[in-house]
Amino acid sequence: MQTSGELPLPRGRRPPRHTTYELEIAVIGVGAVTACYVWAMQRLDTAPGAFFGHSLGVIGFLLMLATETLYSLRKRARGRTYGRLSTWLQWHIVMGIVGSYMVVLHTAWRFNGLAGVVTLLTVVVVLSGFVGRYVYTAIPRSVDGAELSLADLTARLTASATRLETLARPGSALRNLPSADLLTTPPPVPGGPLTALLARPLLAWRDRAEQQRLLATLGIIDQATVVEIRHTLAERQRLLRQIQSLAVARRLLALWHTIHIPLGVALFALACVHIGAALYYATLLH
Amino acid sequence: MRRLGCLTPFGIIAGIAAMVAVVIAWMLGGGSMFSPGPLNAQGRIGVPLGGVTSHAALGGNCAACHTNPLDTRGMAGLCLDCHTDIQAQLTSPDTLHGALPDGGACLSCHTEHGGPTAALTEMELTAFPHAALGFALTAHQYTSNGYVFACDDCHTALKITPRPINAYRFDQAICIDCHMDYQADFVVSHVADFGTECQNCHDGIDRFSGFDHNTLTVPLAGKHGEATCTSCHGEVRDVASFVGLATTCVGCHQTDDIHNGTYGSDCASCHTPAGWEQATFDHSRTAFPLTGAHIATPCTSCHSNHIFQGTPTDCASCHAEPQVHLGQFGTNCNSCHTTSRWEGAIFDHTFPLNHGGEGTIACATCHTNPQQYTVYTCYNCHAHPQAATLAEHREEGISGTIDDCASCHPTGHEGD
Repeated sequence: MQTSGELPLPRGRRPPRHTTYELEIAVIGVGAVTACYVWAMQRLDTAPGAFFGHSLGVIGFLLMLATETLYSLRKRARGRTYGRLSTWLQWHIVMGIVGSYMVVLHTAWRFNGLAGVVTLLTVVVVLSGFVGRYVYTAIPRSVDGAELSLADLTARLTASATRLETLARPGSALRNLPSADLLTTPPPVPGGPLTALLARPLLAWRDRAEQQRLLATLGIIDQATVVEIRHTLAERQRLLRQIQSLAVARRLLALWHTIHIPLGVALFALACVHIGAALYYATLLH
Repeated sequence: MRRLGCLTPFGIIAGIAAMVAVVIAWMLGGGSMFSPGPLNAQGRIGVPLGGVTSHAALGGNCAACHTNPLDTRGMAGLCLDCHTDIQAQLTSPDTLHGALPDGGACLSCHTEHGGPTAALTEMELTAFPHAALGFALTAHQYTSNGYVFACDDCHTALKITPRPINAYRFDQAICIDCHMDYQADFVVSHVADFGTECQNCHDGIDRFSGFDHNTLTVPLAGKHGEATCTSCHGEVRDVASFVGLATTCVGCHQTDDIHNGTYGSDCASCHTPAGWEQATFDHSRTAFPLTGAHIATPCTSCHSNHIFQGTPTDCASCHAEPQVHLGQFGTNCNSCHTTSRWEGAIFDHTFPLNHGGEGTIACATCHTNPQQYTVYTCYNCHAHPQAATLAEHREEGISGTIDDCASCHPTGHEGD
């Protein structure tokens, strides 16, 4: 496991968070492919063996092949690396979704024989990918995508607590709110860390409500301080949740890899057989 | 040791397991697992070809249709090995496959793996060279309901399952059945006129829907518009027989000529297509122009039995002297009457009625017979004894009778 020893940066020097848009890009890609398919349905033969349907299958497979191999190679690259890992993950997801969607369209809704098994496996692997991404994002990472250790998280939590205590010290602008209130720990989630992981969006929503309640008690203070308190509180709550479910998330991700990778290997093995059979029966044997 | 990508133990096991599963499936089901879809299960009635009654019976024997890559005949060659009837068609341009420019390229029209009941022929009807078979689809692009024509709309045997032999053979009764649905009255009369062999005249290019007989040499005006096609064209059964008919009146109406040829063959000089009775003869060109009341007089008043020549032109031939004349005025009617009416006769007494200088004399002075005003005498007045007058005329060298005095003495004077 790759770890990072970097410490939280002082206020104002933290690198910008690298936001990815894989789902948005994937939706646009799927929409574009759908538009092409609808257009082709009215003008072309979309059967799997026809030019358009065949092209869908070939391009879709190449996208899926690329998303699997390139991202894996980047993850394991040593020495010189190109691009952030999060960016590679973004395109891994985009090509995985769009490519598999094209493969499904390539079937023209016929799911018999080996081709049907390949299509079924494609859908399963894609759905598994969504699950994996959900678990993957539960594990805190550095700005370049490397996993953070529990020590990293604890250090960041300590830094945020220090900053909050500084903001709430006597004589500061936060006269109405003692530091003890800012440093409260969220109540434990019924069901333990696994539930906390699975219900992450729900807990995040509840934490935001708690932030709003605390901020409402501050009274009239300057806007810059409010923003800093909100960010620091949010980071503290997120760190607490991540620490709470870090071990479970790592175990789940390992389990997911154990399932997802064999499914993917089986998919690509059967897809290669399908391609070979298609070339043999539909091309060479004509 | 770091593994590369998917090469985890489980990944390797999964890959091997997948390949083993493929091998097992191959051993159990042959190439059927590679089939893109079930084969067609429809057979042709009682005719096994290649030992099977349908493609579905081939099962996983892919090689029954998919040839070795080194076989230059390709899949079409295997098709024709079983479908010997199609092989036979290819030698005759009058057959479905023989008429096609590339009838032996089976896969350009036929498909498979669409399911047990899926169609084996997938071809745009508009792309099919149907005209090569003697009937173009130019006028059969869309049905009367606006749908694109399909093969089985006309070749209805294609709808029968299992498909009969020669399902593409066309029964022209289908034309009538289909067209009866939306133009029943026309079809009934059309079939009565021209029969049921539609393709004898119709080649699919021209529907004759815009046909206008009035653009031809013989427009269908007047009574001709009410005539049936067969009235002139008889039992026509092909387009060629429509042409070559006579375009003159007597060409068709020779037997209708009640004049028995008396007036020649230029019927149109008197008659129009509006009807025989509506003749428009110009009577002014004859010796008896129609004037006055004669204009409105029916032809038959003078010309009975359609005999027009030789009709006498004198009045008395038609108008016997009326009783009112008491037989006194003879038959020279137009000396007193006009053709407008009998009344208002204009009588011009050319001999002076005041002859003798004593005013108008009584009629009986000269017309001694009151029943006969055309007869007169001058001997009963003045001093014209008949014997003396005759002697004087003899002395003047006048011989013959001298009873018609007015012929020489129209004014009544001796010197005239």
